[in-house]
Amino acid sequence: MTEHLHTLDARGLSCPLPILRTRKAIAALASGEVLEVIATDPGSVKDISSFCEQTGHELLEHTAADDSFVFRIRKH
Amino acid sequence: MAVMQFETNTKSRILTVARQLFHSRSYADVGVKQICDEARVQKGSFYHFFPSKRDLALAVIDDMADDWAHGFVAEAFDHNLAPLERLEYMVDAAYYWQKAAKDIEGRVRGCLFGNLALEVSTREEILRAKLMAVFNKTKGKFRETLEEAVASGAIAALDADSTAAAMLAYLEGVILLAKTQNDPDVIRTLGPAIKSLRIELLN
Repeated sequence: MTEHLHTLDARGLSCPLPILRTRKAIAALASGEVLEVIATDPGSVKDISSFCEQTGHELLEHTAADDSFVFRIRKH
Repeated sequence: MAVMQFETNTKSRILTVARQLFHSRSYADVGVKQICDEARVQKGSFYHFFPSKRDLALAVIDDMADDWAHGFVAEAFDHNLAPLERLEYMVDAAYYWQKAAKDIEGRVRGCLFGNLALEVSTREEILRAKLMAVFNKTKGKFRETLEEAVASGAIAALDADSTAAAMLAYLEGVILLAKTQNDPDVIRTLGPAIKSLRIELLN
């Protein structure tokens, strides 16, 4: 399945802003679409995995590079 | 220019350290000496910016209220969201914010304003009044949201001002319970019920 990738740049934002913006960005997607989130707040790693667990969205992958974290989330 | 920059940095270091210490411990527990040590500033510089610890606390409250207003409060009370949905974002903000402290320090810190209000309201009139102003501003956000929800027909008419105060009280109370239980999940479990609060108009 191929899909258009939506990106949210949350670099420089600290908790709880990245998660609030992620929630808003996910709300704008259709089910099955993927959102890529780029964040620099180390807390976002735990926050985004809890968010996905609690909301049923699928955390496809999470990588760390150049002081930032990249998450790919598929909307439930 | 360079001197001004240095002064700004010194002042903001003091504010950052004081905010952190007041929040993780308490106002009474933290002395000027410890703040100076952790911010790496001389006592003379401290008193140049803040004549007393009380003046520092006033500045910390302003600084934090300003960060909130431009940060997660603005993000949650976003006019692009449906009015009642904003309340869910506000609960989420409180949950993730408290959870972050728990993840890092092992402790739910509570709301800095709530903590300070409990601690100083009977002892420092000027701080109490400042905290009341912060609470009133937040209550105003809830009230605007409720008024919009009524205007759009999402909810029936109610006493928006009292309901806004009840919502603020509920959120602060839930955060206090989460702090006492040292468990941010209390906010996730109880928080969403904020939407069901309503105080009817009299007559």
